Order: sequence, then C-alpha cells, then structure tokens
Amino acid sequence: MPENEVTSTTADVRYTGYAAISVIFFSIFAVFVGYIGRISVPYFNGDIFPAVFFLFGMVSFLGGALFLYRTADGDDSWYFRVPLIVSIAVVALSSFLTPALQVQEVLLVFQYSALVNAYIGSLAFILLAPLSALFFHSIPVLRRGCVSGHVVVSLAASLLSGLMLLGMLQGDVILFPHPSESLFGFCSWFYLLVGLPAIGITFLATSSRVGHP
Amino acid sequence: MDKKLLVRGMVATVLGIIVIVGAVFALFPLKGHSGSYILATPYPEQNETYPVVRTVSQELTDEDVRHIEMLFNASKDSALEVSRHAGTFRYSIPDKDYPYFTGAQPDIPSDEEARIIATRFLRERGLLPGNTRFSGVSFGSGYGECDGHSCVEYVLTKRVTFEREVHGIPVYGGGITVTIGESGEVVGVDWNIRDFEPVPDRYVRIITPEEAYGRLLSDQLIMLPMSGREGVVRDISLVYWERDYGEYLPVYAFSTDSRKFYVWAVDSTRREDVK
Repeated sequence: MPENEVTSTTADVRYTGYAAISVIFFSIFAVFVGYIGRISVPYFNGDIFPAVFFLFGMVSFLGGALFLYRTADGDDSWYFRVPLIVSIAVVALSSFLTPALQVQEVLLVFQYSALVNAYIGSLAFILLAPLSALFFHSIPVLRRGCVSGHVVVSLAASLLSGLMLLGMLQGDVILFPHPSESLFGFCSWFYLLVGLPAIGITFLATSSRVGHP
Repeated sequence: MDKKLLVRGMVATVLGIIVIVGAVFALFPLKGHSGSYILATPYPEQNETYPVVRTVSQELTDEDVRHIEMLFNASKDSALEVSRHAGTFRYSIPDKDYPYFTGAQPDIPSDEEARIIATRFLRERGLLPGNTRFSGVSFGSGYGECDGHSCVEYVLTKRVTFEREVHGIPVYGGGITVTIGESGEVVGVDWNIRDFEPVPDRYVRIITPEEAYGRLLSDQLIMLPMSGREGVVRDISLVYWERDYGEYLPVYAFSTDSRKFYVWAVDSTRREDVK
C-alpha cells in the first residue's frame, strides 16, 4: 500500500476522534437534562455543572488526542491544534477538582485553591472559542481563501469570550462552571447556549471532510 | 519534537491526575456539602475569646411613647408604630416614604448630604446612642423606565443606616434606618436599638475563620436559604447575634455579592455548654 494512501481504518479513527471533540461544546444541554432529571453523579455531590463538563470534557479530550495522534505525520500546522485540546483538558480537570477543593481538609493546605481552580477553569472555558478558530485554520482541507466559514463561526463566539474575559478581570470569577447573574454572566449563558453549540455543529459538519480528505 | 510522544504525554498526565485525586478521595471520603462558596478574601485575624453580653428588657411606658410622639410631631400625614415590649418604633410619612413618580427625578441629596442630614436629625432628638456608627447609604424606593434600548432609573428616596455595636462589633438586625426623601426631608425612621449590659456576662472561645468556612460549606448556617447557596465570598467578619434567651453571641458573616451567610462562631449555642 502506498505510504500516502489513507486506509479506511485510519480515516474512521480520525473521523471519530475529530467528531468526538464536538461533545464538550454541547455540555449545557446535558446540564439541563441533568437538572430536570435530578441526576446526581457520585463524587460531585449533586452539582451537575462540573459533573457534565468533566465527563463531556474527557470525551472531547480523548477524541482530540486520538485525532492529534492520527494526524501527527501531517504538516507543521499540527501544533496549532494542540492548544484547543489542552484547553479542553484543563476544563475537564478543573471541573473534576471543583468538588475536591472545597473539602474542609484541603482548606488547611492551600486557602485559595478553590479560587485559583475557578480562575483557571474560567480562562480555559473562555479560550475554547478562539482556540477552535485556530484549530480549524490549522486543518488544510478546511482552508478556503483567507478565512473559512468555520473560522468565522469560532471568531464570532470569541467576541463573547472577550466580554467574559473582561468580566473575569473585574473579579467576576464565577463564570465557570456556574454562570453568575451579572452582565458578564449573561454573556457566559449566551456563550454556552449559542456560541459553543455553533462551534460543536461546525465540528460535526466538517468531520466527514476531515476524516476523509 | 516527537508529536506522538507529546500526545501520549498529555493523555498520561491528565489521566494520572484524575487517578491520583480520585484515589486520595476514595481513601479519605469527602465530608458532605452542598453549598458552593469560593473564597476570594484572606481569613481575618480574630481573638480567641469574645465577650457575651446580655440584652436589657426595655418595656416602653406611656410617658416614653408620648415623648417619641413629641419628637416626631406626629400629624395626620404621618404614622408612628411603637413596639412597647421590644422598645422599638417606626416613624413614616407614607406618601413620601413610598412616593409616586411624578415624571422627573426629584431633588434627592447626595449620599454624603444624606448621611449628614440623618445624623443631625437623630442627634437633635437624642436618638443616636454612643455605640452606634454610620454603616452606609443605600437605594430606597425608585422608579424605572425602559424604552427598548435603555433603561433609566429614578431615585425617589435614600436610606441611611446606622449599626449598633457591642464592644466594637456590629449587631445583626439592630440599628437605625433613616429614609431621606425629596429636598432632604426625613420621611421615615426605623429605630431598632436594644440596650445591653455594659459588663460582659462571660467570655466565650470562638472557632477559627477556617473552621467557620468549613461550617459554611457543610450548610451549618443559622438561617438556611431555600436557594442560592453559592457565591464568591468577598469578606469575612464577626457580628453579634441575639439568641432567644436575651444575649448577644458572636457569629461569622460571609459576604458575597448578593447576600450574607451566617454561621455560629461558638462551639455550641446551648447556654450551659458555652465556656
């Protein structure tokens, strides 16, 4: 078999990994289902937000890692895909650590652990949109002219990211995983309900093209 | 750099962190908690013990009530409610305390002017006890108009609050609120001051702020709200809380952007158990 011929198996794995990245972008809908269904995940003590972002984040992270692994032999633009996968990993880890860092015993170790974790998780959450733009731009088969439609969708969501970052710098730390009731908290709800799902749909819509270039 | 090695490293790191943290908390089970409070302020320095003071019953006599009526020159346009047993009262000019909006922003004094007006009003009538301090000026009643593009808010009254202090620590629920209306007129006074014995009944040992934060996380609140048990804690302070048997005990107040949460600062609130 020629070295540059993509096998069916490789294409399927690449397609699956790429499509799996979209999962985290639809997390808010799972949160709604969790609230309505009063689903309680062990370890998270009934707090549905971090539970969903951890589980969905891990699916996206592992899918993204699989995609990176299968495209590692490609061009140098591969490195521009890494930041998004790292950001997804940070979101998942931050969610996982949220209930752990509020335990009384941990308080004596590092007083501000929960606050630092919330800030880091918020920042990674905010960066999902702009890093998605970078991710789409790094895939040769998706590039069309100067800026493709997929990048435009991500950049549009990134406008909300900018506002949320502004709020975070003003001390509105509860952006993630619990959006607050402030103007910046409203932006994070819009980001969750519209911005991120739009990016998730973009991933799904382009997955067949990326998996089978 | 070997790209595949980088990917393997990322996955191993993430899974490793999850496994380690999961194992630690499997061996040391989490204490149950349901609130989500993120600490964004340092723990304050506190003394180990604090005084407990007894409140003094202050039944108002007929003469006291007449004196209060004279102080406010009560008329047919005003209302004076006196709670004789508690020793508190409320004066109000209802039409001005909760005014109708007339179409334009009334002449309401600035916060500083409101403070001066309220302070002078109370002092002239001997209604500002020595251990009471100015707390702040807040929005009273108002009116809002939205036209689809923007909203305009009109301030119709302001509220000036004064806190009662016991040995320098504010008392929850106790204090004076003066309502300032148009042209700086005093249109309402809520007087809720209870006397207490100046000599402490005894001293109690209090828990540390760290322990109090633990109580907050495990929902050991004095008043448990129906919802909204979460927030960023911006300030931790001590206040006095009056217990049923007529004494002030210290409690920790955790202030978030929207509300305050209170936990007992003593190990036990049963009188015989307090050291």
